[in-house]
Amino acid sequence: MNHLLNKIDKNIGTLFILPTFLAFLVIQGFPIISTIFLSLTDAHLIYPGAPFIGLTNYAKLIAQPELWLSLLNACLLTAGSLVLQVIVGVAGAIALSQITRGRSLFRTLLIIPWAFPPIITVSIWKWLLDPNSGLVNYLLLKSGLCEAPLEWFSSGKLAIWSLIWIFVWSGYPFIMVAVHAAMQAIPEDFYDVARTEGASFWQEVRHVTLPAIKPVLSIMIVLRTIWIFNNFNMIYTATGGGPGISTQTPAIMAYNTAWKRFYIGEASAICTIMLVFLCILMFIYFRLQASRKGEDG
Amino acid sequence: MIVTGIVTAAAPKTKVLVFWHGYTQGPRREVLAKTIKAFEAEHPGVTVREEAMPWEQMNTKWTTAQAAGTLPDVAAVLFEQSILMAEAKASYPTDSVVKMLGGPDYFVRQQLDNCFYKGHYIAVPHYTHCRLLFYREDWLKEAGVSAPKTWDEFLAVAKAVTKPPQRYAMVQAFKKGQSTTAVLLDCLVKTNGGEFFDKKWNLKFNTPQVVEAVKFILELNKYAPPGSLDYDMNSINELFLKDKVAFVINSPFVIQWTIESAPHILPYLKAVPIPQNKCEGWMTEMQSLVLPKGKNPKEAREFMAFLLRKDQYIPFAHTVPGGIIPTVKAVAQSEEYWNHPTIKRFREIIDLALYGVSKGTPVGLQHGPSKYGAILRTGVIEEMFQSILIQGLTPEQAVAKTHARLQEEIDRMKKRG
Repeated sequence: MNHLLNKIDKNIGTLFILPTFLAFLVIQGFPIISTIFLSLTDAHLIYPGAPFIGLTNYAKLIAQPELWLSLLNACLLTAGSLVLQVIVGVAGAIALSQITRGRSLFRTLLIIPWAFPPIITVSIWKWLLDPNSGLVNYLLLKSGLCEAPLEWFSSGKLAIWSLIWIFVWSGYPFIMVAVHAAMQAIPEDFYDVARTEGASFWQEVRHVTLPAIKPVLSIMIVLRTIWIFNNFNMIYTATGGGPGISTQTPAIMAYNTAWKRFYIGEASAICTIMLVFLCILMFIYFRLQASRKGEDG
Repeated sequence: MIVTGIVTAAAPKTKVLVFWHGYTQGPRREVLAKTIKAFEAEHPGVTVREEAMPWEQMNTKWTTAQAAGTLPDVAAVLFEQSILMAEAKASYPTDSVVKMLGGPDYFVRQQLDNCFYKGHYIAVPHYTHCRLLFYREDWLKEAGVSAPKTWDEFLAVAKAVTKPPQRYAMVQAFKKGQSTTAVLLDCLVKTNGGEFFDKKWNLKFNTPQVVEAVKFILELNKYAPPGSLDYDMNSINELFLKDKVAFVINSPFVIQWTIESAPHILPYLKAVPIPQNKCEGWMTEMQSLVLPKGKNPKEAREFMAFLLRKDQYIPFAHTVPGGIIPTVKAVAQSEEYWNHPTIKRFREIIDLALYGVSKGTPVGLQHGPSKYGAILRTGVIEEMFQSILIQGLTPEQAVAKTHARLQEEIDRMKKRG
């Protein structure tokens, strides 16, 4: 009897989390499993049935340069946006911490871009960057910096950078606020000691601020990577993946395959590839983090 | 508690009829709301719940709803979408509605006949329109040119009116996921004596007629303002209404938009058929009413017939005077419809559209309804133009590549049934 009670006592924690775990399994696991299953079929939204075709969808997709270009676009968009978001976000947080008067007002003003719904953000920038009536082109032409209006969203070379700009504009406040909050937890003594030792402003940032905000920044990087890589609504509204496939990401490709061409099996294969790709990316990132921790420790 | 129970038990059971449509604009929604109210008054126990959504979203919505078993009872969809719904067995035939209304002659016959597919009416036409070349008469006069009738004339006029960066001829909507250029190409290929499919539904895309039409559009694009690769249907209308371009290819809906947004253009607003090369060529579009497999098929039929009743139809048609070309014969022949001041004022343009409707067919459906024709409006044509303008393919290469892509889609569809 005692033995049984001991056993229950030991596993009581597991029992308590079991309902949540089961709910998690149904909510998270079912869509993933059904997507993987669908990716192995020739399921079509117009025709009934889902004939099993094994790995044919994957073989077909892997042979398509379109998939690789889409992955490359997603990587460029993610890396470009992320690096700039982190730089602007951290710089913003440091600047905020230096302000002694009106900090709340500045914080509120700087967070506004993040508060906009994505569709509004895109509409604002589409309007500002319009080649025929946009303010940006008007100013560029007026100031003589350009001779002809720049086609921000319709040039194969510029479109991805325009998207990166929109992502940075709307995403940096999130990093800024999180980093700023993390900075509040840094004891003032650390800075006092650094100053006593004769550290410059940049040395303070490098040796006190950055190490202290590193854990928060790591989480931000992981979250933003997933969000940007998987983003659909902003890219779709801004460029639809065009011109050509210059801003097409796997998410856009999956949408078009499923809802324009109705090949839901093939679209599921694209989603599964995205999932695997992101898992690999995250695995590499966490391994790097772990090895750095090991070195530091 | 007991009283409440009695009241609840005695209350008549209400059936909720779900109606999907793409009539998102204010006036059309207002008139539809009145129609719904009138229907509910005539059918106690039935409540109509309308859901408006953009036309392009309809495919996403109905395919999802079919999988979830939540299809609506009645839907207004683009005609191409009604074919796909019938193929997917997501809708009932509308033969009974046609019968309920007194037979096929209740409609402008040609429009109803377009809906006949595999032995049944798969939809009934709600309204129709066709594409015309609208232009600014004042700008053309200023440039000393007249409205173009042929491809060559169109290029010459385009060149004459273009004065960058203030004024351009016309802009194409090459944006990904659009089907506006597919509409223009369809029309131009027809005027060039070509077609996308033959009578046996063999693909005829990679032909000299298509290549020539593609080259013509590219030539015309030289007189377009920057940004055409990112422009959609709304943007090209906006550029016309904002005095940026002299031409816009669209339906007589342009009249209403000009009244609302650019009244200064009204005195100079004119339209001609889309310029031709070898023969006439007209492209029509049709909004159709379908009976998706919802929960209330009987009431759905009654509601559909109610929407097409003359007294309900005329106010609806007048929400976009001249843009909504009636498919109900009694309305098309009624003085009440034609007496609308805007229709009277622009009678010449509307008569031209009526002529176009009588001669035209939807994109890729020159030989009747087909699931294959519907592929052409999935953005594949716009992607073809993007491949020329971005990747540098020649028109011949791009047309050949698109032909191969379309053929692959058709083969896959054939394999599935």
